[in-house]
Amino acid sequence: MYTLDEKKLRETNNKVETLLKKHQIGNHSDISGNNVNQKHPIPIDKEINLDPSKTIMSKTDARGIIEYANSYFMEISGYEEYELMGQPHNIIRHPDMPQVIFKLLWERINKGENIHAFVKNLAKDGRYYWVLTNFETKFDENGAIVSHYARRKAAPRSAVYEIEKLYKTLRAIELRQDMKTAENYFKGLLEEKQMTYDDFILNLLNIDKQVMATYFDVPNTEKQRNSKKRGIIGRLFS
Amino acid sequence: MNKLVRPTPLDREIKLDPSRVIMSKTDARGIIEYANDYFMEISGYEEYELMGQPHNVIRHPDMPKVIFKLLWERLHRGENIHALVKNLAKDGRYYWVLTSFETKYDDEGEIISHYARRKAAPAKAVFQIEKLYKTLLVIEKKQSPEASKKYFLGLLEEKGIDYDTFILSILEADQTSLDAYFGFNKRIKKEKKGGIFKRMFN
Repeated sequence: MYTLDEKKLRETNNKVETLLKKHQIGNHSDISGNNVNQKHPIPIDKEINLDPSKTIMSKTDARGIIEYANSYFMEISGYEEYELMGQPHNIIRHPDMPQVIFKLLWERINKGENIHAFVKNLAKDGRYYWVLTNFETKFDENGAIVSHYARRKAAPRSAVYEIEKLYKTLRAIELRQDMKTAENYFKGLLEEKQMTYDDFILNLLNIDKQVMATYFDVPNTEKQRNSKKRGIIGRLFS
Repeated sequence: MNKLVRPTPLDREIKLDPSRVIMSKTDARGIIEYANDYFMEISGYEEYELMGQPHNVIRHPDMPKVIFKLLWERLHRGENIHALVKNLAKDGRYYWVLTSFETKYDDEGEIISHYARRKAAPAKAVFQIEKLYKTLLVIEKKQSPEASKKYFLGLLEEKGIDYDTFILSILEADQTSLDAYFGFNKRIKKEKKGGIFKRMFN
C-alpha cells in the first residue's frame, strides 16, 4: 500500500465523478441493452441505511423479471407493487455500479450458483442503498431455471468503503475503455492477491463461509436451526 | 478505444523505493490488463487511463529501440530478460527500472499473458548503461536501428559475453542474487507451475 496523498486523491475523485456524471443513464436498459419503458430515477447523493436485522427479498423469473418482492423491498425501494412487478430487476440498478459485477453475478446465477456481491442500488426517489446479496435458484424437472430468489441485507460500512474504491476504478475503466478491460483488471487484481472472488468478498467482510451462510438466515437449513450464532450481526456491524 | 498520448519528457527523475515492486500484466501483444498500486503511483496514471493501453505508453524516447527489440524477442519465446529500462511517467519525469518477466501459456502452448516485475535499478548500473544507450540511440537516429543493433552485438562479441552476462556484470551481481532481488530463490524454483503466482507476488 502506498501513502495516501490527499490532494491526489481529491483530484482523482473529482476526475472520476466528472466521468461518471457525463455518462449518467437517463433511460435504463434491460440486461440485453434494450430500452425499457419504466422511467429510471436520477440518482441523488443521499443514502438509505438498511436495518441490519431485516432482509430484502425478491423472486424473479430466469431472465430477471420481478415476480414477487417482500414488504421490506417495497419499503426501501420506494416503489409500489404495481410499479415493480413485471419489471426487469435492473430497474434497481445504480449507474455507479460496474457492469462487470453484474456480468459475474449473472454468470453465477445462470449456472444456479450463489454469489455474494456488494451492490449499490437505486431507490425510486434517487437515493441509494448498499446491500450484500445472496441467491437461490429453483429448477424444473428438465433442469431449466424457473426462478431466482434473492436475499439482500445491509452491507457493513467498512466493506462498502473498500468496495466503493474498487467499483469507482472499475466503472471508470468501463467508461473510458470497455467492460472487457475492466474485467481483465479485476481478474488481474484477484490474481495478484491470489484470491478467488469469493475469498475476496469473505476477506472484505472479515468472516468465513460458515458465518456467511448464517448471515442470510436462510430458512429450513439444518445449520440454521442448530446455530446459536446470534452475534453475527453484532460482529459485522461493530 | 481511447489512445493515450505519450507525455513530453522532463529531465527530472523519480526515485523508486528499492524494497517495492512495480508489477504489470499484459496480453501477448503488450496491452496492459492489470497494474499494481505501485505502478499507478510511480507512473502517475489512473487505472482508467492505463488499462487497455499498449505498454509502450511508458516508453521513454531516450531508450534505444534495440533494447525493446531484444526484450520482445525474449518475451515471444517466453524467456525472461533483465533489462535496464528508462521509463516515462505521466508528468514527463523519468524512472529507471530493472525488469524481470514471466509468461503464461494456454493449453495449446499459446502465450496468454506476460507478467512484468520492475524494481529500482542501482545508480551505478544506470550510470554505465546510460552511456551505452546514448551511443546506441545516436547510431539509431543517424544510421538505423539495424546499425545500432549491429554495434551492440559487436560490443558483446568483443567482450566475449552474451547479453545476460553483460547485464550481470553491469549490476555486479550473479543470477542468484538477481533472483533474490526479484523475490525468487532456489527453494521456490522447485515448486510446480502452480506456484508461479506465489513467486510473482510475494
